[in-house]
Amino acid sequence: MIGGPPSAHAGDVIVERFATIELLHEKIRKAYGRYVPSPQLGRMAAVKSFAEWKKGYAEPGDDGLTLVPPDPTSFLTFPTLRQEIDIACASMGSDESLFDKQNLAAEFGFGPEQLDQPTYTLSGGERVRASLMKARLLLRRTKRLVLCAPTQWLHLESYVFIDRLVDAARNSRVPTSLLALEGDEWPESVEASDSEVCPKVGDNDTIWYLEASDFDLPLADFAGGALTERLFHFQFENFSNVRLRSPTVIVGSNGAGKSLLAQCLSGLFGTSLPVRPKSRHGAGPGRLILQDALSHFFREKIAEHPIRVFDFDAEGMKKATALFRELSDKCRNLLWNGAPDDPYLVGRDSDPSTMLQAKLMLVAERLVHAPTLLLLDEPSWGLSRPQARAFSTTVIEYCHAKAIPVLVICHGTRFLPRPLGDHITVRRSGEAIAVAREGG
Amino acid sequence: MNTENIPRGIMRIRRLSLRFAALFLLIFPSLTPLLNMVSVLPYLPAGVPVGVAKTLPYIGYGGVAFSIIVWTVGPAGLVRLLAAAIPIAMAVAFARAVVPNIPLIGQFLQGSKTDEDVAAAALLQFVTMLIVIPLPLFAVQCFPLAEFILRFRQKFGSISETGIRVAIALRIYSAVIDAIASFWRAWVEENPGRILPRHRSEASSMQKFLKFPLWFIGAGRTWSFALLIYAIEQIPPLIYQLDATISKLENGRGGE
Repeated sequence: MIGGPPSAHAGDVIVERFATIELLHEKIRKAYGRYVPSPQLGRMAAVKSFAEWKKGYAEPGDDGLTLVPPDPTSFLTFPTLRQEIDIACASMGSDESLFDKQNLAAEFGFGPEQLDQPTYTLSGGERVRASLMKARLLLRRTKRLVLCAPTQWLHLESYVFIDRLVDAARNSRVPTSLLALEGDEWPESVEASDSEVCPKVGDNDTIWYLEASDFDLPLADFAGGALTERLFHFQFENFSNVRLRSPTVIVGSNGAGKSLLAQCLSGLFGTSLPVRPKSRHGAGPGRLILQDALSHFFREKIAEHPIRVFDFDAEGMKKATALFRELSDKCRNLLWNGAPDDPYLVGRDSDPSTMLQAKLMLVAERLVHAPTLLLLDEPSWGLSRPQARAFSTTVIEYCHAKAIPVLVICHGTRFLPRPLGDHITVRRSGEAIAVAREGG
Repeated sequence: MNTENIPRGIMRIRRLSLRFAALFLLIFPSLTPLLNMVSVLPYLPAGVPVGVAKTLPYIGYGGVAFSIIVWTVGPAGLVRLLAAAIPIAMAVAFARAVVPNIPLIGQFLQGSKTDEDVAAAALLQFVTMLIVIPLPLFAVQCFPLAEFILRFRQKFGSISETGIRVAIALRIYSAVIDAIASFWRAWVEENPGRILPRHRSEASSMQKFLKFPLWFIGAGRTWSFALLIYAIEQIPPLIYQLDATISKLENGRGGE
């Protein structure tokens, strides 16, 4: 079932929904007694959870449970997919011969060349697919299957892989639970609330140009690339100087290279030919909000981060802090549900930063000195759907008011405010990626 | 607690110690005293500086290590590994060269060491880092964990505690190396100058001189702390998954 949600007819599938990812993690931790690392909770919370896990691990676990956690990395044990498959097959004992390893990898969308690629170089969505594949392999010895918010990372096209796993579990009579975030569209249909907020499409003030016709991004394994190397070729069809309207959206399937393109535009990667955005605010690299925004914060309180960033720019710190307040208030108003003091709305200053706070502060810090372009990599990641919608709306509206163009990388546009400007579709990964303008 | 009643997998976990991971991390630096014991000075012609003579055993050791790397992944692989090591080694060597020239405190920090001593120490450190950084990266990259487990099991019939500890220590080490890449991106996005903050409009030259190093140390420490926490965060699921996998392997043997 490509392009739609997985089957809703699985009689043995139980769905539970959670308002925030923090509540989801709490549920997993309490109900299943398993340590689930949660980048969304922050680093210090992880240490605390680690201590709890150490303390509580004396209790025998449920050996028949296969739990695919929200952070797919933590379900993958080995450095490469081939090793993962080899061990999983071996652990099936006499059932090992049931699997054709190559075909199984292909069934979950992996080519032979990806089997030896280090898993940390795979995209988030590819890691989810790898986790689903591993769960499929372990199904013969699984008594209970739990999938935690798998659609967080997946492109719509990749929902078919959830379908395949659930179908296999149903055929094996394995009861399956889905722990979903509020707003996740599985197994129900898309929630149509996009019309609630409608920031305007970029006018002439927010048009931006991409000065590049094509360029290569040679990527090597971090530790010297001795074992792995990939070449991405980005080509903009029929354009040498692409004119784009804000908000521009980069879409494409998992592993196609969306985030890599964004990181090229922000100057994080050097490319074979110069590539640079140009807008009313000048020409040069854009500023990027990385997917895991909490990597910047390290479980600090929200006021602590700008002190480090603006240590030599007191005026900038004042402006960033004031702008953060403004953006937070806007978000809070959009999220307001009759309980304005609800800490889950945005987060409290006295606590370590929430993911939403972290993202808002990073945006504020970048907007103080108006950037050429603001890039949001997976703005919905780690947020509930209402939070994602409020965050995107707030940021896009503010940026457009200041004539700053916005580029959003996402698997789907369902949580983004309408209308959108232009789409850049990254079509396929590997040695050749074609990028085409689709807006109009 | 009566450990007889604890399932095998659980007992393994309780016996595991992070010391093994630390030991592994220390293997390569621990080679330093061994190499210091090798003295080639008596065999060298007169006039060769002592600092150079002290470096020769390291160069010899590095030659062997690099030969293995080239044999395995070719010259291009070695160059790429060195690409990660050279900037760090250069930065450290330059810092050593700059310290004696800092006004007022330079001479104090240098103490009774002569310029030749300082140069020899800088050279030795540079060479050591060129060896110490690529070798573990290479070793971990080439370590096929799954193959190790399967072969161990094939040869000995089961996987010993020691085997599991080694496997986990190596896996944790490689996971930390993996994490550096993503954390480095977060650092560079905020500080494109690598060692300078992005926003420094109000910094006078005196501030730069005095405060930038302090800022760098503070921010770098925060970054390193985050990386450490991230590494700790990875340990429980890695151990859990590895232990569960090995337990399933052991159980699966009955069906063979």
